[in-house]
Amino acid sequence: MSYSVTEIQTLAQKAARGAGFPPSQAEAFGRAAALHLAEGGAPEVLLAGLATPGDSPILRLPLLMDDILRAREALGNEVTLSLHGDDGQLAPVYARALPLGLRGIDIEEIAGEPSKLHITLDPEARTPCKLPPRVDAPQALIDRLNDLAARTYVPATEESRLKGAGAGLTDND
Amino acid sequence: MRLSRMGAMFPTRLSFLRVLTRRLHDEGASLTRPVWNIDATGYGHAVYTIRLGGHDYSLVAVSTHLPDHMRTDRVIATAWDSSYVLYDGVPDANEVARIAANAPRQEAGRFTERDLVLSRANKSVRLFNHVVERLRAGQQPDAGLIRDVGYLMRTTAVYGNGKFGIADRALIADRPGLSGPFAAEMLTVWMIRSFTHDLVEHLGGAALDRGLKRHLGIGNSTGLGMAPFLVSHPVLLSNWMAARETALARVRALETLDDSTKSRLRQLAARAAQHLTEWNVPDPAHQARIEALRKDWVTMLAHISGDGLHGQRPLDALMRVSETLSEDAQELTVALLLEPFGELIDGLADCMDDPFGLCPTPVADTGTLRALIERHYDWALALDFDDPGQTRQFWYVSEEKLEPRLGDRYAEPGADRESPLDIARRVQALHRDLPAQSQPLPEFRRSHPDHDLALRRVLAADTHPYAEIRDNLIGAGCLPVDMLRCKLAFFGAAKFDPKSDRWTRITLAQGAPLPDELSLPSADDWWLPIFDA
Repeated sequence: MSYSVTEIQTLAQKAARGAGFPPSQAEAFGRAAALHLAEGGAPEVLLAGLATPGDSPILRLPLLMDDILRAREALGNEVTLSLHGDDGQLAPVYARALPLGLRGIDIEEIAGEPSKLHITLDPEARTPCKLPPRVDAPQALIDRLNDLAARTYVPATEESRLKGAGAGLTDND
Repeated sequence: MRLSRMGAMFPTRLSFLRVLTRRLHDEGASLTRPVWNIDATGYGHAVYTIRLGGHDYSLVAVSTHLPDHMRTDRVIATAWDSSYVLYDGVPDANEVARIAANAPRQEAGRFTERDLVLSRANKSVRLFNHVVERLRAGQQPDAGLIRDVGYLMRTTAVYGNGKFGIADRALIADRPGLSGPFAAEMLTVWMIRSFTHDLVEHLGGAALDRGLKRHLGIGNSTGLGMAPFLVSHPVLLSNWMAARETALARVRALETLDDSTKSRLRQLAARAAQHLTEWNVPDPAHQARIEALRKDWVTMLAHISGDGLHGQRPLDALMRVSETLSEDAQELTVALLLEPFGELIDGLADCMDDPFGLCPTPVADTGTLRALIERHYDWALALDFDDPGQTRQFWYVSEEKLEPRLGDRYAEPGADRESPLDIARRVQALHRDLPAQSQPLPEFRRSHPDHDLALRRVLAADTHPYAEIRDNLIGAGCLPVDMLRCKLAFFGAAKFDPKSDRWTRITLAQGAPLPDELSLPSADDWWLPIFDA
């Protein structure tokens, strides 16, 4: 089934919060998840990231993005950073979500060493991330994200229905 | 930027609906109605089309029967009197059929990237029925009732940006005419207003008086869902406020006013006074505020009518006079002072969007971060979060149709699933956890990932002066309706009619040009409309 980018982004963000990630990292994951799927990325990568809140690219990659911004100021428009473990699967989409002009992103795998993220920035551009009109996502992924997102919803009670939003039940005036 | 001031705001010429109707006027836009498939009982569908910025947009309006017992303004509603989709282009019969089948289902329906906005509206039963009955009897409706209610239907949601499968905002964000904040939503509500006019004329079998019709805007009922948006879009909020404050600074800096501008200001101030007399609400507390504002406005009128516009920097002087009065009077004065100066300030409307989102430049170390917090969040550091009153409320999303709600932390379950709107508390906690000796920021972040949200807010506040609402949003004294009024005023809403501290009704597009009035020179002159029928 196809979804809007915002639907996937919002659902993935809620799922990350439901999985136990802090809100800022969850928000960044939401953006990255939509881009990842839009580029044909494997849904398993997203689920793996959500499965281990204590040791996850969802925690590490926002730090890496700040490293990119810092490295850009210090080193110029060619940035190379070392990656942790399997973070290379999501690092490119995190980078693409930055409002920077990117000329190129490349992951270099080196046997026995951490992989490296190479980024070439366009100094003239500060562009919003280009998004596709639609994102395909398998139902199993959506179901799992919904399960995790539901952990952020508060069960409904009659009291919360009456007090929580403060509205009347009928509006026939 | 405090909640109480946000809760006193009025629409200005920078409000999004005003920006839209100016654009429609400038382009010579024309609204057509290629489909009118409404039966004798008022049910069916219609299609309206307008060209804006080189693109065609169509409103597909669907009218359905709604039993009275199902009519509610709440998000938890499951059926409505009418439903709408703003469509990208001109829909063919298959597309109209698809939308007619899905739009009445709203959140339970499924939409495509050709659908730009999804909305629904319920009748103001007393006015809708009255207008139809009067028209059927060959009479015009009671003018007083139209003045008091102000709309035939009120929308209860206007969804954009990808909800339920509709188009992401990014897909239309660079289109002329739709690039501004909520422009597609404003176009939708302006077109819905026309449908409500056409529907009563169809059912009544006669035309409404033009003046009465122009005074019939489109209502809206808004609840808590609108408030978190302002917190979660700090750059956008800052840009809105910065445009307004820049506009105000420009007019305050004017050294003198010519006679025609003075005359215009006096005319507008008198209009505002009449608007206030026509603004009456059932809630006693809010009615008392309106009445106090009427008295304050007498003071302002005296200055504006007398010598108040003659000296050097007269508008700056007028603002200083307003500062001795209520926040309501100050905010009304701001809106008044902006109104005559379109050439000076209308271009600022192009600066109210946020195409990039929050992407703050990181600082090097925790010492720098500490200094930023102490510079921008002294108000948050001063709060005592050991006082239960300062943490009394918590924001949450109910599993019931995902309706945003507000709970009492000490009396209701669910605080463990709290939405992260507790910015002041988070920034204070971040400040408390900063090491005494400065350390590199990445090192601190690795050991304190929970502080990232607060960290980003602090960095944003350093470059966006109006990014933060400088109040405790979980304190017992937080009134969400203040946030609602701020956002709705930016939309262009007036006649705020709070039903509690958590939701309000408003009127949009009251006095706005009717479709066949868009080309008139006066098409933009509808700030704080008054009843002249």
